[in-house]
This record gives sequence, C-alpha cells and structure tokens, in this order.
Amino acid sequence: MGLFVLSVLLAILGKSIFGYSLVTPFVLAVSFRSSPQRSFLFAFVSGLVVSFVYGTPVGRESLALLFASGLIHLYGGRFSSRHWAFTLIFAGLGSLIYSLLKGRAVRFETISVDTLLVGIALPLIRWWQERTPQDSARLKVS
Amino acid sequence: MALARRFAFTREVRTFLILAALSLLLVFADRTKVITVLRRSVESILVPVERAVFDASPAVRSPVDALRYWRSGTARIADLERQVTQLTVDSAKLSSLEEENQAMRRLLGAPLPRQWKFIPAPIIGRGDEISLGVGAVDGVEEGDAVIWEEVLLGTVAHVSQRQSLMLSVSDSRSSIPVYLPDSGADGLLQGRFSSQMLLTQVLQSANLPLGTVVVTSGTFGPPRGLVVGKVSEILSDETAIFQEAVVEPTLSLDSVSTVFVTKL
Repeated sequence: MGLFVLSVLLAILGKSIFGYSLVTPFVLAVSFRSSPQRSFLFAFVSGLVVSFVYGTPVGRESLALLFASGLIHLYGGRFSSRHWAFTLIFAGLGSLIYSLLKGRAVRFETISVDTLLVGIALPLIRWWQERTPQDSARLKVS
Repeated sequence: MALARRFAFTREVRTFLILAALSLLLVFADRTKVITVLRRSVESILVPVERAVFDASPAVRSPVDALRYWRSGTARIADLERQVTQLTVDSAKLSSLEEENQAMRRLLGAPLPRQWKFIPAPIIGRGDEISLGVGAVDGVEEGDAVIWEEVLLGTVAHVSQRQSLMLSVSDSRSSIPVYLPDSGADGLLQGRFSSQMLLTQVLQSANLPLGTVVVTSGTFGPPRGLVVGKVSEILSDETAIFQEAVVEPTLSLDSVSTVFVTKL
C-alpha cells in the first residue's frame, strides 16, 4: 500500500514538476531489492498508475514495466545482483526495454538518467527495508 | 531441494505471465472503450490535482528556496505557512483564470479564420510530450492542432477522457508540411531531439535567407497559415537537390501555461 501511494506521488510529481517519469527508475530499483512476485505486482500496479496519471493507453505501461522488471530478475539468477556494475548495466537495459515496449524514442540521455536515478533510489530502498522487518510474522490474539 | 527451486521458479513465471496477460487484456479493454467510465472517473480526480501541482511547481523547482525554507523552519513560519497556503491556493486560482482570459484576448486579436473552433487547454505536465488538461469529453481529437495566438506548438498525439498529450513540433516524431510565404516554396519540417527543427525538401531554386518565416501549408496535418518558426541556419550546399535548414521555434513552450486546441 505504501509503495502504491509512493508510485502515485512519484507519477504526479514526475509529470507536473520534473517533466520526467520517476516511476520507471523506482520500479527498477524496487525490482533489484524485492522478490520477483512482489516486484512484478508492483510493476503492474505502477504501470496502471502511470497510465491513469499520464492519460496513456491502459495496460501498455504495465506490460513495459513488467518486462523491465522481469529482465532484472532473469539476470539476478545468473549474476551477482549486489554488484554495482551489473546493477547499473541491467538498470540501463531495463530502461531500454521499457522505452522500446512503450514505443517512445530511445535516447541515451533518458537511459542514463534512469540508471542514475536507480543508483540514487537503491540505497534509499535498502535503508527503508532495513528499518522495516521483511520476514516478520503477524500474531493475531483474540 | 531442486524440486522446490523449480516450483518457486514456476510460480514466479506464472505470476509474470498472469500479469502480462492481464496487461494485454487491459490494452484491449482500453481500445474497445470498455473502461472509459473508470478512466473518466479517475481522471476527474487526478487532473485537478495535477493542475494544482503544476501551478505550484515554480516554487517547488527552486532548490534554493526549498533549502532556505528548511533551514528556517521555526514554529512561527509554520503558523504563517498555513495562512500563506490558503492565500496561495486563492492566488493560483485567480492567476490561472487571468492567464486563460489573457490568452483568450490575444487569440481574439490574432488573424485566424472565424470558423475555427478553439478549446482552451491548460498545460498540466511537461516532458517528452506536453500534457493538456482537456480530453475527449471537451471535444479534443487526435491530430488536432495546438496553437498559441497564430503560432503552431504541436498536434494532439493521444486523447484520454479528461486529458491529452501534445506532440511538440520539435519532437523527432513530428513531420509537418510547410511553405515559405516569401518565396512560395514548399517544404517539410521535421522535429529533432533538441528544441530545433529541420526544414527539408525545399527546391534549390527557392530563395531561403536566414530569418525566413516558416508557415504550415495544410497539405496534411495542421491547417494552413500557422507560423511554426524562423530559419536560423542553412545546412545544405548548392550541389544538393534540395535545400536544408535549421528552424528555431517562434515561441518557447516554457513561456505559456494555457494553449488552444484548434478544430476546423
């Protein structure tokens, strides 16, 4: 729920203030730090958020983000997902796949900025995850 | 262990495939207008929020102001902030209406055909494509020209229910037939990645001096007679079949906040 609210905020801020989509690098960064199922679901929901905020066709953004997230998990099983070089390379590739599937012009500067933003977002997400226990069990006492 | 790993892999792939299929289903539903009502409802909430954020963006953009505010965050300022916020909201509403009014007055003074219809469109987002706060419910259609006074800014590339996306004339996907009023020569204006445009397919015999005004010809796309820009640099040599030139836009999109979607 927190991630959903954050993606709505990022989409609105990105569109109306920065003129640059902040959701894409955020989804990529979350994909690096979360389980596949969680990040696929987040990519799908974020895509819907972006579609509604930007007024673009519904489903297309979700598909593009889903494939970008899928690429990161595909590589995670083969390379060290903690290594900064692979992280940056695959963040760039994720951005490239997103651009291609979305049908927008592929620009070196867009991919570079996305990669840079992923690099900035990763420590923040790591800090957030360290603050919140991931494997805790909820005990319900009636 | 191997079985467990394989099961986990299958479950991940299954999730991926289900969500991908759902995305495709949504693409289909959107194309067949099944989710129009949902989109209209969501956008009726989102678009005013986006417009308010966009109107407030000049203050947020300045990092120096933000830093200053952060450093002097005392209780007194917090108290004053509440009052200022209310005044800012009132002021933003007033200035937005005033800008729209001024733009309307300028448009009335512009030498454009009276039969054209104009839909005032506030800009609510910038980026690769410009977001306009009007959509299908306001009568906007794909391909409509977006102008300010008699200057062409772009064309509507995608229309949603309450918002639309404008493709700027300088966008690399943009291609507009134009003519040069001074010489009467035709040409094609193509966007580039920068804020400039490339004028191509102008016959060698045509006179093409620097500063020449470039106007839409109306062969296809935007209607005839809208100013697009001025020739700032000649690129081709005399041996080429066609002349090529760099065209600078007449108006920067950053300087306007309300534009008009034009319908013939």
